[in-house]
Amino acid sequence: MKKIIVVSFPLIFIVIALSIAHVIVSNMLSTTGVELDKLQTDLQVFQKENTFLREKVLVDTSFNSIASVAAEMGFVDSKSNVYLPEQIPLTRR
Amino acid sequence: MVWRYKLLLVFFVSAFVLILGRLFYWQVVRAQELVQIGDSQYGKFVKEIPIRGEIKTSDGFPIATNKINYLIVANPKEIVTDDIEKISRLLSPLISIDEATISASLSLDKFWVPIKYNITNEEKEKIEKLNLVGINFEDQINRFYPEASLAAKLVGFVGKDENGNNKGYFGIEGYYDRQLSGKVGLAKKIKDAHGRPILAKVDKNSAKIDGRNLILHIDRFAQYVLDDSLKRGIVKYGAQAASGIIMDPKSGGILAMSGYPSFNPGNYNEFSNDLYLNPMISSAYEPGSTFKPLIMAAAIDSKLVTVDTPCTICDKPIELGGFTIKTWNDTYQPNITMANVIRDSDNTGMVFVSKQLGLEKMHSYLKAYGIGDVTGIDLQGEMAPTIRPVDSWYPIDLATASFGQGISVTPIELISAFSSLANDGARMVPQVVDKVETPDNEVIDIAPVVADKPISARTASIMREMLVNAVKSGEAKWAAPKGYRVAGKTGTAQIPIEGHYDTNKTIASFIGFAPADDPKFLMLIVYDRPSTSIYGAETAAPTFFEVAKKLLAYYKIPPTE
Repeated sequence: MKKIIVVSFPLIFIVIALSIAHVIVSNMLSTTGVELDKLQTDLQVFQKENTFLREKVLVDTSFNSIASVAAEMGFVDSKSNVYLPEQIPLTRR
Repeated sequence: MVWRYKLLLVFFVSAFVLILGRLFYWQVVRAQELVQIGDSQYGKFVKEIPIRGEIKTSDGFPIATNKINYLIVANPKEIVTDDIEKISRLLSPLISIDEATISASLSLDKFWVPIKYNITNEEKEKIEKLNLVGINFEDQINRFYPEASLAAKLVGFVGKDENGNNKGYFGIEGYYDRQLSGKVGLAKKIKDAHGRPILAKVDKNSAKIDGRNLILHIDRFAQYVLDDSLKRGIVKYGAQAASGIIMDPKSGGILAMSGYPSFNPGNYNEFSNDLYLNPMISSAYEPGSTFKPLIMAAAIDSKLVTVDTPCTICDKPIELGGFTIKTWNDTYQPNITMANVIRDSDNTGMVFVSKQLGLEKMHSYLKAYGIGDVTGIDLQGEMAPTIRPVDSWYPIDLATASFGQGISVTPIELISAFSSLANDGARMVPQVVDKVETPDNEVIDIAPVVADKPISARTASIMREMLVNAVKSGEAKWAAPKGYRVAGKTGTAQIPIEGHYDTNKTIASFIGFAPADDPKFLMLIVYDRPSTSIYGAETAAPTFFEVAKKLLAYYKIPPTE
């Protein structure tokens, strides 16, 4: 009888401990999905915002936009270029 | 007693076999079906659409990327009948759809009715402020071209296939569609009893793979300058169409490619289908005098003529097979040298060259130049008219082909052939894409490809001097940049219409490279039926030199003379 008790108690204890652990872990995991969903939603919002901002940057830095803004500001095409010939040494022998 | 035991044994064994059989039926035979039923009860598979790859110019600027737009959808079941008129009245001015059309959509007996596609974020925010019941928004990922119509014919566009999925058409979007598209993924969304999402196992094999980015040889500045010059040129010279290519003759990389009239790939469906074609790769024309340097190079390479060889038949028009071949200005120079044949674009001189060369040799050089075959450029829609077999050529065909009439090429074919003159005799395969960028940031380089070596480096060098002379002393010398050695040749080809050539309708062109001694770019400009002047020297050449001057400054190349 004593032997049975010695064997049974630890077994019962292990079963109860594991059950409690299972409940705790399940409880923790069950909220992870909700948190994950929230994080994903936040991520999507930021990604969208980035996409909109990038779109604006790309439009504003396109050559077509730059050219039209430059024309509005009075810039004109340079008709002549200045080239500096090879540097002449300070002294010649 | 024994028979009872035996009966019991048989009974249990039979029951065991039956259970085993039933288990086999459920767990093996119908396993797949049951798994699917189970899956559908606690989760569902959703398609994950990959992000389409970007197309970037050599400076890393995306000329094709993605943006988010919205689709306005209505759920008429949520909308009270009395509100339909009010919602229609409020929505109408914001989305530019008349009230009656919106009202009709809202009155349908459906749960989901699309009202308008491609709504911008700003428009969406304005509509949201109205707090309209039953009006919702769905995200749409659309292709976005920040430079609008810049290089439109080169880039192509993204449309829909027969299943409503995105698909690239024409140009780069069409040719590289599979690389840009990526792979659609399948994700499993699992929900608990209350419909809340829970962690799901991700199967790596079914994960989506985003499209690859393409980095082009296209130089955005060169492309802009070419586009701008052609746009102005088509108006200035009253041409029906204008097109141009700029290529790096050493690598075959396409630095710019443009054609007008064009379209905006962002709203391609508002333009005529004819405009989608890229004439640079899919329209053949008779190249006229721009073809002469290729034939002259063949004759020099074969050692049949030299720069100083005099033309012994150039003192008058040439009669051949019932046709009379004249020079463009009807003036004739007895014993004109080969250098001056190119400088003065003398047709009779080229007939002399073709006679020296002979049909067999000319045909084999044309093949080596890649004439009559596609170049292999990485763009959708390339075609090339074939050249006839040797035995179907008449003497008049040989004569006219020598000055670029009676033979058709696409602009890309011509510029690829011409690259051999600018690149020590090596003809390069034209390439648009320089590098491919994978979603893992791995960069795959695309190496330049030599298609053939039709002429020797020595011949290429001789031709370079002849072409520099043609620019310095030829018909278009007034437009050439001072102090630079530019090699080039004008072309004015009559257009065959209903079996004869119309002398007033021409294809005016100019092809050349600069700086001649170490070419940075090779360029071809073509005007279709210019009306202010029919000559290449007065239309295509000024455009060529206008672009060339800007490129020489852009590449920081100083004058040498």
